[in-house]
Amino acid sequence: MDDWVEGEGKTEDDAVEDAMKRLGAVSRDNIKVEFIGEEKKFFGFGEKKVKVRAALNELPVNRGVKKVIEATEVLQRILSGMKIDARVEGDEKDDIVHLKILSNLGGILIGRRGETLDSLEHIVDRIVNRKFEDRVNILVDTEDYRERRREKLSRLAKKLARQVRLTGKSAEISSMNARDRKIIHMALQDDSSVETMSEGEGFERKVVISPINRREKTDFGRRNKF
Amino acid sequence: MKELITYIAKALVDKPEEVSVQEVEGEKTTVLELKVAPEDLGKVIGKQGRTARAMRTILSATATKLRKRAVLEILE
Repeated sequence: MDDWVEGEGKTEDDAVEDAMKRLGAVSRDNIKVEFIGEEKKFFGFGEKKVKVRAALNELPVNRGVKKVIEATEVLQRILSGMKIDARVEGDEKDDIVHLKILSNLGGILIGRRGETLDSLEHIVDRIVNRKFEDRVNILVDTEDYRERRREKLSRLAKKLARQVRLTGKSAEISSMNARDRKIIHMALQDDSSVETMSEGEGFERKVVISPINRREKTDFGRRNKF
Repeated sequence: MKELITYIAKALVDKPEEVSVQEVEGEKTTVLELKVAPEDLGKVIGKQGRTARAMRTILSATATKLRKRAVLEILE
């Protein structure tokens, strides 16, 4: 994919400069350099020759655009394989590729608790990040499901936190993936009356919301924490 | 459904030319048998089977839409 050239010089800096000339690069920041080796001339006056190879860096803008194009295409092909009439809109922001599916089959695409959407996201991620050296995050969404889910879980978290506060007993939410658990943690991070923790392994992993016993509260609350 | 799994598998592996998918039609259920190069097995299964599970979920969604049942078998 990259066009590499070799540069030579007495020192590594000289060799890099030589390579830059060959590439027509104006700044050291625009190229990537790999050290090849150095040759010592035993019968000369200790003179050595350093060799490097260098290539122009891809412009960040192009890289982002290329990823969006590939990710969009991959998802579009999977959807047509699923015989789903849909259009994919791709966009990139802060190294995250957002893919939005426009179709009238949201229910099938989302699946139980977003399972199908997550699966599409995972497969696109595996395919797109297989080909590129630097990883990019992939986000797949349809009908604003991600935002709706976040709002729903945040509301649930706050409701449970209220209950935990009132009863002084922990509450748990099970069967959630990492993304959902994070939403719960984030929703309650500023709540000083409860703490959240993930427990269990793999698919069994759940979030536990526990009360933080404060002195003024333990006067009337049961001290089952001790 | 066969094309779907073929496309995904080929895009995931290093040796797409060694990907093959056999569709075995049963009375109610269609079985898709996926074969890849031994060194690509990890790519289609993924960490903790995540990639294989994602393919199965996508396949089920497709089957649901087509009012069918389908299962994916990864052959070793």
